[in-house]
Amino acid sequence: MQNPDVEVPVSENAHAADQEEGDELRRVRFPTVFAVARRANGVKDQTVIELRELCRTFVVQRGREEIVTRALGPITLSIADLQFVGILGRSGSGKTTLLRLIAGLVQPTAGDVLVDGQRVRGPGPDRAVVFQQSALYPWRTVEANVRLGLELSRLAKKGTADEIVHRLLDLVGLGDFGGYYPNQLSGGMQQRVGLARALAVSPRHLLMDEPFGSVDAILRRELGAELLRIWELDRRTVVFITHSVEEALTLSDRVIVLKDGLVADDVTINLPRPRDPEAISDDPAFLQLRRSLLTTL
Amino acid sequence: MVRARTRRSEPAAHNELFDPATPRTQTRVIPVRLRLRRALAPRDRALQLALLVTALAAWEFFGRRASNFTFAPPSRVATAAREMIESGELQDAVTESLVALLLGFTLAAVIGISVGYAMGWWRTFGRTLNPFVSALYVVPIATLVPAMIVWFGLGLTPRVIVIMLFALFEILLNAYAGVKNVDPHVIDVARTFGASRLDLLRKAVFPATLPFVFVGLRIGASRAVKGMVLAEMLFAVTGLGRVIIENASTFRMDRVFVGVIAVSLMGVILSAAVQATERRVMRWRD
Ligand SMILES: Nc1ncnc2c1ncn2[C@@H]1O[C@H](COP(=O)(O)OP(=O)(O)O)[C@@H](O)[C@H]1O
Ligand SMILES: [Mg+2]
Repeated sequence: MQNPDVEVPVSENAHAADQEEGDELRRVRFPTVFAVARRANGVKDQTVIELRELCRTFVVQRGREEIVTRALGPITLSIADLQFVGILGRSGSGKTTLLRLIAGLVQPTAGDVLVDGQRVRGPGPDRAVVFQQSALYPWRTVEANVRLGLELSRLAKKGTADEIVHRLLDLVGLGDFGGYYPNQLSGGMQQRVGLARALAVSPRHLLMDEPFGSVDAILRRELGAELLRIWELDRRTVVFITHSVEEALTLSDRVIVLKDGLVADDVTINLPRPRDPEAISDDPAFLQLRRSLLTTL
Repeated sequence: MVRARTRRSEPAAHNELFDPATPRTQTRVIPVRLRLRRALAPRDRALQLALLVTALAAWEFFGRRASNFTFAPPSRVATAAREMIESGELQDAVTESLVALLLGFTLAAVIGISVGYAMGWWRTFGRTLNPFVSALYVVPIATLVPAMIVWFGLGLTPRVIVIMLFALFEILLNAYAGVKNVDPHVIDVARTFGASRLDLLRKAVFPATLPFVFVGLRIGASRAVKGMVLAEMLFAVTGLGRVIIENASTFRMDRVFVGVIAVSLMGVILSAAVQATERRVMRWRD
């Protein structure tokens, strides 16, 4: 169940090559054996998340009747390694259900979810989730919240854990707030903590459910830019759910549009990286994609 | 705008807070004198004190006019209390009562919290047991006292059991409600990290339910005191209940009031202890 490879203390690996410019990059990388191997072999476009005829229904009882909703599917698609995939859809289109299926928090009614070739039977720290309402534990300080995943998954020893926690808090710009309780932070700061908590277990894949949905538009763009910066430093597969076309386009390599539980569109976004959220929104290619996505949505 | 709202008595130096060049969030030390004043001098404290003094004065006034056999003013109550302390009578009674109270309350807390958690944790267990617990909850415990006497006699055991029963259901039902009301996101987060069942209980469910548990303990504490007096007056005549009953039968109203006040104080202190623990355990709340 556990990932033995994540116990490798980062700094030890980083020491040898701990020089100038590559420095920051390695520091946040916590390389897993798999990831290193994959990068070394130059394997690309390898499928890591696969959905086969995936379908999920919910039944709600109302007196003598019951209402059956097909929340998602049937859906078949593959997500490639290290890709940033945006899942775009209106409210009720099945986005959260899709994410929870991949996370293993709900079971499929029919079909399969395969992650790294294995059928998903339940949740695990290889797939960390960032929730819409940051879902921090109010009784834990910021630091302790970020440490939560390390404790529960037993991925790191005490000393290593502290080191990882501090590095991640620095990474999301909250180095000075370790001792605060969540209710003492603004919404944007809470979301950053949620991101740090997910990254702390160095998940192979990162699942994000409208993580910036409850913050104002300006902050949302800033947080998006920050996410991109972090992702460029240490790429991993990201499934990013949003109802904002601009956000999906700015961040993603590929945008999948969900409509009434089905895939309505699937677009590769070839805009150059690294991306600047400010500049990119004037790009003609961006505008054209935006128009076409808005039509299908 | 902000300037207009400063109080005129504030020294001008405070206005450096409004200087945009200084950091927006700053830490500063509260002078000891100010801290003391804040703790002691809120207006409602003064009003409360005034109310207390007025009530005592009224009591004293009417108490002196009434017959000694039916009523006693605070001054005589104080004298009686001093006598009872000097003779050791009051301490003995308080100890007698306190032992039963603490035993009964602790037992209620342990059983109530464990059963409440078990009912919330194992859904089927909880749903099966729930109607029975709810039925027991409405049984007036006083009606069980004769049976208690038949089973356990008149010693410490039946008293402890009555106290326990008085407090148990509030604690149990609140713990149960707490587990049922844990935010599903809290559980989801722990599950995504692959938490074991035990960790899920220890690190997610347990802290999340603390607010509910403490509500139960607080109500349970006050009910335990009621159960204690009931037991001491209704059958095992002992402790503070005995102080009240025996002195009432000889019309020593001053001593009766000493008993009443001692019982009330025990209730207040037990609740305060629960609340102090609550504040310590749930630091994130303030
Ligand atoms: N636990 C559930 N019980 C009943 N219906 C649900 C449940 N979860 C989702 N649904 C239904 O499935 C549909 C898709 O929901 P969801 O995946 O949350 O959409 P989105 O995240 O895109 O807003 C909605 O119609 C919703 O009402
Ligand atoms: Mg949703």
